Amino acid sequence: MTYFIDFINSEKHFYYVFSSYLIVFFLLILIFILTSTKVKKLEKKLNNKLHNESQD
Amino acid sequence: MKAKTKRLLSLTSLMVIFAAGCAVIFYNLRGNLVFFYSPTELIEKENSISQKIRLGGMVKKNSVEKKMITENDIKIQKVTFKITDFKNEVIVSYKGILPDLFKEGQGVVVEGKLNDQKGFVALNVLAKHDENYMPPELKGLDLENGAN
Amino acid sequence: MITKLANPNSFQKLSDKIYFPCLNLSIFFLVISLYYSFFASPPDYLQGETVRIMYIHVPCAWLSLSTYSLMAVCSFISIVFKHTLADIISRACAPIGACFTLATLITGSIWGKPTWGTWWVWDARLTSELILLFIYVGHIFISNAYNDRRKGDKNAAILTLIGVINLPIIKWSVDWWNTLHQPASISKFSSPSIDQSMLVPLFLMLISFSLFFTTLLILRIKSEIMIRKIEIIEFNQN
Repeated sequence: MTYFIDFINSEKHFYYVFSSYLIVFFLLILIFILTSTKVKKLEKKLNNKLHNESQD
Repeated sequence: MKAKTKRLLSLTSLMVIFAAGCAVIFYNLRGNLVFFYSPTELIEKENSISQKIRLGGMVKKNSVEKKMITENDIKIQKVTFKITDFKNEVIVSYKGILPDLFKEGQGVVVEGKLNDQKGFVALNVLAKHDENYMPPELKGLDLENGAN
Repeated sequence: MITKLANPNSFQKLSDKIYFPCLNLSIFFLVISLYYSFFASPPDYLQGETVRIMYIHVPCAWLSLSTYSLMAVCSFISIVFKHTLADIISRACAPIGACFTLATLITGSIWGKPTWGTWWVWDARLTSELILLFIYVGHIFISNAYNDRRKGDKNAAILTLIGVINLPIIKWSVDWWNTLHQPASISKFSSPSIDQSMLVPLFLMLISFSLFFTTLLILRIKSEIMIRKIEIIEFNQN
């Protein structure tokens, strides 16, 4: 815990470390969300097509 | 010969040739790709005075001198120190704020020009970090063991 | 086994099974490694607290290189054996690799400012990593540049194989040339020059990021397979 308190109190370094973690997790979460929305959209489209095909 | 085998052979040979070509190019470029020169290389190379170059090495222990000077009514810190590669050393002078990690016995890269008195006038100082990472409690211990 | 896995349908069955375990394990390891990187690891004797940036910078860098290696193997298979799954994996990898490379460059830059005293220098390591980002972006553009997808796949595969030369340059640039970037702290032949208390969060973070990479890869492969299925249905309808 003392390590963490020291880290929070290290003004300048805290911002460098905090911003780099923030940017990395933002990037990773962004690509994850983009990919999963793409998958959901495609799943819907594919199911529609399959449904139409079986009707023909 | 099957088309697959043909593709396999031609692609593999192409890649080998390409890799060999790149190896030759980079082997010959070796001297031009360095980010900085060591003091020995700088002395041997006899660079022209006007050229902007980078010089790297260790900050020699007990060689750092700091003093405040006034220039155009603004107080600036003037620093002189020696950069060494344990064979040769070069005296460097710099005006301005040093990076936090600038310390005696640590790596440094300076950007600037040689002046006529075989000294180096730095316009920019970059601290070079080494590959060692350890907690501060171990620092004292390591200094005793790691005397070189 | 390999021929079975290479069939997109059975591949998808397997990947559906391991998707959630991968995602959950990755989050689990992330929480532990965050605990270690902020609460249970000391500051560095020289860099101080900024050493904590290394715990995400280094895994991102390793993944940016290993993703490229996977893409290179797939590109080779794609050109020689013309296997669809290889093209699919290459396509799925490129955006993830670009993401990790960008993360490496940004975190490295943020670390460089307090440590070196500069955001960016044109030394061999930093420049070659930037070129890696350009290759990834180039791959994404080329593979989508043609109406005929197979043509895009082929040209992107060629680009990937040419770019392989960049991998050893990134890896050994710090040993071959004078760079501002420090040499590797962890290598096969010597004991690591990182203290144990700092190795733990580094490796935990690497495990977490690798599992997250697998999760993303599975998702992207799934979407690529679906795109192809939709195309087949559309083709049959016309």
